Amino acid sequence: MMTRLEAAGPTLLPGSESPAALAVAGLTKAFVGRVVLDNFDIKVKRGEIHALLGQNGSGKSTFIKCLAGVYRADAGSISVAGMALPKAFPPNAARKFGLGFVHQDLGLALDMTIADNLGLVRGFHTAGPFVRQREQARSAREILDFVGVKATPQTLVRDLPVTARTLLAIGRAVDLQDSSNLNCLVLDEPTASLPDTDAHLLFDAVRQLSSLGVAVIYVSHRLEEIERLADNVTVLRDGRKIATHQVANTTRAQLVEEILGETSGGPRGRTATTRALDLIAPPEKRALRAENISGVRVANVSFAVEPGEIVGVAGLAGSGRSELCRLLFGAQRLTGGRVWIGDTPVEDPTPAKSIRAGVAYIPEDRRGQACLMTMTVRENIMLLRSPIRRGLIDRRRDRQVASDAIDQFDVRPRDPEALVASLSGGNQQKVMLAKWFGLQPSVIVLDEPVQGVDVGAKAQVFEYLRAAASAGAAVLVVDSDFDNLTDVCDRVLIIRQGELVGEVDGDSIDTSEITRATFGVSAVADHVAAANCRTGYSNV
Amino acid sequence: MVLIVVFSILAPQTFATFGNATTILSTQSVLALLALSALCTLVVGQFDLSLGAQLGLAQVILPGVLSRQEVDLVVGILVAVACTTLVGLLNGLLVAKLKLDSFIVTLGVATILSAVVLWYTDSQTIFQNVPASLVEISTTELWGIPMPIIYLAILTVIVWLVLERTAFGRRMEAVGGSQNAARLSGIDTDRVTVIAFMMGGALAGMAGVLQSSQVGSGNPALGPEFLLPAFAAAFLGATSFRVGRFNVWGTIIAVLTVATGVAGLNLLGVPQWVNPLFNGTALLVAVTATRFLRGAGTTT
Repeated sequence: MMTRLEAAGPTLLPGSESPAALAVAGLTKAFVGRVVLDNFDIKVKRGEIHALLGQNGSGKSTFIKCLAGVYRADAGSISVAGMALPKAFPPNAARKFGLGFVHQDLGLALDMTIADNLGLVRGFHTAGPFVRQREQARSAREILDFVGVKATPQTLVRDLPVTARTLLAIGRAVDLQDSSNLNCLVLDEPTASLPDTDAHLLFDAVRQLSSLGVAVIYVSHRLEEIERLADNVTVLRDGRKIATHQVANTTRAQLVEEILGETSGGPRGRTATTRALDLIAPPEKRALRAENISGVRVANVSFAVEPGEIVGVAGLAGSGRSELCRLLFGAQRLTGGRVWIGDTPVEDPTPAKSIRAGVAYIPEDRRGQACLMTMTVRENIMLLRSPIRRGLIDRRRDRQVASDAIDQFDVRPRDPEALVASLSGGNQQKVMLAKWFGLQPSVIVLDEPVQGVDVGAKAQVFEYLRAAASAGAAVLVVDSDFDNLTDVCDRVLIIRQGELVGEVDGDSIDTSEITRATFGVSAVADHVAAANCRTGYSNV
Repeated sequence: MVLIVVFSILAPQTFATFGNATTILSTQSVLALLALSALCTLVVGQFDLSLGAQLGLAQVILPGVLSRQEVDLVVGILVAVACTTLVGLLNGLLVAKLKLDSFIVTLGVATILSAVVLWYTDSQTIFQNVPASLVEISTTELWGIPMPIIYLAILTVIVWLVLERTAFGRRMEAVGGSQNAARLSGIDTDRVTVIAFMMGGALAGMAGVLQSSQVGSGNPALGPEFLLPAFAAAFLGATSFRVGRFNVWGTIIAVLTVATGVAGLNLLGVPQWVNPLFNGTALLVAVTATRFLRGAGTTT
């Protein structure tokens, strides 16, 4: 564990009586009666690196948004360097209070130069109305040196590698002339999009900041980073603070248990399929097989999904789980390996070829990539199978098939002419199922099929998946809520940093097992491997 | 409809006559065709700002080849329409394959076309040696209905069938709705976009043919001023029939509504500046209304 000796740099005010860089007490926030942040306390000293851990929906983002002035907390207080913040303030005021943020999307203007990107946030050096280019370049160079990016101030941000962009975003949040200006910097999953080999560059920059006396709140899912970098760690679960530890005095296993909570029970019973849906039975039973496939964020992945099987893919955000789906369907370029549908390989897969081979893919981004929001339910369902008679769409059959599908998949309202944009998330997803299942696919790939879907519709979506599987389809499901995978899957593949690292199946499927494996807690991973050897998968 | 009633009351002697009705329809047939042309690219989510210039090109090429090369009328029409279809192909390839912004691409192409027109005509109106047969295709009547109205009716039905009754039309709408979703549904979005531009080009060419036949000559200055009213009609059309979406019948009604408004205002003897004011306002109102009618939830 690293010590924070460098934190006692020259700029750090001595003495324990100096107030904490950030002190939050009793912070509470509820949305429509649901408490998402409950009486949250955190205290971060100057120069401290404090990690924040928790599952999706644990309240981390809500906390950050309250700090940034995006949300107004219902109760509680925030004080920065001893100064209490007002109850409500606009997001652009956060910087004035000495709070800096580097969000996951970085917020850089890609088509502007480094110097201009810095100027946009920190203000330009001007002479009258004109920007003093040389001054601007000089201060930009200072920041680039500070964060260790080798580029000229005139470089376009677009031409920088991702790592350099992240470092630049950090540098932008810091004011070198007056570092006391920045009290606390919040980094939201800064390594999520970084190549592993570059993470240490980011760590160096963060350590340098802390040595200047800046408090750093570091949000990450990656436990090994927290071990390497942070002094203290706070775990959030269900909107509540579970514990704060010194990183040196804790273990990964302990943290994982705290992230999960005691409530994560054993395997849940998989309900039997109650309805056989003739419409979704594929004409041929074909397996999905990936053979060493690689692409952006995915390396050398091999696995197979047999007909009648529902296989889950579990991984953290940025692990390559969505990219894996896109590669299988040909939505993203395959740089290596091969996808097989049954006995035929799909050469250079594209969506059109995959659909012809019998693959259906429902992407995560329902509004942008799955549904045609401005078109009607009927047009969405019938897009890929317009009934043609004498060269024209047979409108009677078009309507008939669409309303049959609406009945079968229980889309509400039962109006084929309703715009998809007017439907709830659950019903939009049912429209997508109706659209794709209508093609009778042999292989079905779904990315976050129940995200933003209410409980009732969720159960229905899973029922349709089970029905499709029992009718002979091979189904692959990505879901960040591992409870869902536990509910619906026969076995679950674990993906970490673009590689398949394990598999949980048979009796050992349970949420905490999956979570441990995705975090890479080694003891458990071994255990999982052992379980694999013991049970071995048998076809349904 | 409201406009017709209003102007009928305000100017009963001149407005509500059969003669006036057919005049409005046949003088607006060129604009209506161009509006249908604009519709083809708007449906796939692109702008073709070179449609006016394409119309201009076709309406000088037709009298040009008829008088200079003395080709057959049918051949002349085919040549003119082929030229604008090729321009559509060029636009489509630039937009779909090179992923350029259609707005800028077609603005550039429009400017080049105006240069081509000036070069081809030597900046002179082409009217000498133009055969009478050219004018005849516009001036004849069938069962008392001027031919331009009949051409318009036929083409409108064809465009309507393609856009709303074929699988290809569905795919065009899907591409316009979301390129991503369309691509992930296995639709060749590039091909659909290119064909949409070519359809738009062909229709703009036909509008040019009709224009030159109505006056019997080719005027190098003509074309671009049709662009704005055509787009206004397409946007205004999205506020009726299939609300919130570009559609054929709404567009045709919009052309007639705006024309009726302008004609009515003219008959009332309002000053000249009222016309562009009316057109511009109609466009802004239409765009605003379309935006709201498309409904909440479609913007993120």
